[in-house]
Amino acid sequence: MFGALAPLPLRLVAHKDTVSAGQHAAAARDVQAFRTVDFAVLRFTAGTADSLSCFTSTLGIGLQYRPAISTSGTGVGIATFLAGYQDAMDGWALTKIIGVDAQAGGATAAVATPEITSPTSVTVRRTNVSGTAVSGEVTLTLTGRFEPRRIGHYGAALDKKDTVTEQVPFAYWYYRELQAGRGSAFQRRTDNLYVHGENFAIARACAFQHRQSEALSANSTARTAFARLPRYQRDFALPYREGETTQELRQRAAAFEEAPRRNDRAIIEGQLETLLGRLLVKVWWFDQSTALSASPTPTFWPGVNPGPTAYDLGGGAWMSARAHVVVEVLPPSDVELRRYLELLNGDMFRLLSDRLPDDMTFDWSVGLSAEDGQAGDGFLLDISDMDFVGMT
Amino acid sequence: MTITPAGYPPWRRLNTPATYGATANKKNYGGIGAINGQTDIDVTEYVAMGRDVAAAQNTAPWATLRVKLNDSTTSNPTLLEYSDMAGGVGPVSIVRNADNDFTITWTAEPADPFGVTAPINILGARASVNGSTPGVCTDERLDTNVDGNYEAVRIYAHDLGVATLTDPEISIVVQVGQSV
Repeated sequence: MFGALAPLPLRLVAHKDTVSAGQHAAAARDVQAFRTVDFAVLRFTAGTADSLSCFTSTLGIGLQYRPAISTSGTGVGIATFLAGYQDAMDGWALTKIIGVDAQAGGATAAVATPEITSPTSVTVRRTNVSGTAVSGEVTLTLTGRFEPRRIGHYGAALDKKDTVTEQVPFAYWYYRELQAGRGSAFQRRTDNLYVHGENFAIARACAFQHRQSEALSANSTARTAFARLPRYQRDFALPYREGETTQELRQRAAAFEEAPRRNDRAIIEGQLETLLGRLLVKVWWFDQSTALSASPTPTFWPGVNPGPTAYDLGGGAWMSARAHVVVEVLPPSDVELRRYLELLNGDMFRLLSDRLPDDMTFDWSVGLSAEDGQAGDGFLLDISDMDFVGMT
Repeated sequence: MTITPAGYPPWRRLNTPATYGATANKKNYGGIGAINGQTDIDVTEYVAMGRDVAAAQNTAPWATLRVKLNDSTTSNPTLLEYSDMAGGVGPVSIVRNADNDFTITWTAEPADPFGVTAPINILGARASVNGSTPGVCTDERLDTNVDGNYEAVRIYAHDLGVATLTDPEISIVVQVGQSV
């Protein structure tokens, strides 16, 4: 697919000769799922130092990735990895063992009991079924080293699609045109290396210019931008996020650029749905119809229901549910807490701060209702100082 | 035209990111990145995929299977479920040695779906006794054709003195690796 007429970057095309957006998405989905694979598997003799006999690891090919094997007595083996390794691409990762399984080898009944003694070291004790230490072979299977990956690391994203411009490599058409244009004045056979090479080089150069003009066009909107993404990030004041992939930044910039600049409820709810996805349970807009003389609960009103002094806005104005929005979300069951809080306290805060009328306040919460498929807590958490930790 | 994949079948444990075209000096033509961020895969994104495929295939088990022993009729174990890296054809044989003692042997050089063969070198077998009777398993690797690689594994199931294991089911995960 990376033929000389269609060099990288890979342009996704639904054609049998290359890779479609759907096929690439499938590959990205399946490769990111590898995060659960074992970190290393090794076999050695517990009770004998330097006895590693067989080894394999996600770190790479070669004995430089093997652990040191030591012992502290009969039946005891200690496997110790370095604190970090450079992988085959010169990436650097710290060793962190989070799980281990041990199996005793040999013909006699034996049990191998592992113990993680540090993020880089495992001790295994090999015993007979009565608990007496017996030296012998063991196999250790370790998990935990593989760094978390997301589809964006591989260039995939939910809005990815096939190209409509370079379904056939630009260079191919230039090459054909050069062949046709030069006609019989030049040898047209492709096995004439001189003429073929010249046509080919010119075709590639023309295709590069063609691609650059398309890149200029694509970079004019955030949705299709690549090279200009840092500029969009600056222009839209999108906060920097550690570990964010290019595709994620592109989508974040596009969502900001394409967002309607209105603040009616439907638009705001739509934007929250886009931002939060399946995390969004419900947007709570409180009663707006009740007459002012019968204020909805809760309303903090000087002299009537003052409420906590923290809600005093000054000048005789207090908070009211009329001017408050609560966004109910799912708890972060399968989202990293850091990313979850970035989303809610960073992105959502900015969105609502920009979109809601100036007289409105907002908050977010979990477990307000049974609408998330789980039993609610039985009360409505309204204007609240409670933080996430307090609610779980 | 039949394609022959680059590198080796994954059980050989020799593939690197370069096997998948992911090398540190790979670059976009003209060095301008993706033309259209929504339709293109930039070289860094492709290289990341190659890097992770190379890493993950190193510790994927060679085979996973479940057998039922037939010691009560002194017959060879019955293969109940099976899957392996080469496409799941199965081992050459599963032979009973004695009560709760059997040997699984694979062809020394299995072929991948593209017909490329490579030797297997068994590192070990994680085996567990299934059922309600407590027991543990141990394993031994065997180089039956004396070529320096282990293509067979002998599994022993042991009771813990609580009750005798009778025709137990055994779950097995077989790993391959590089000899040190």
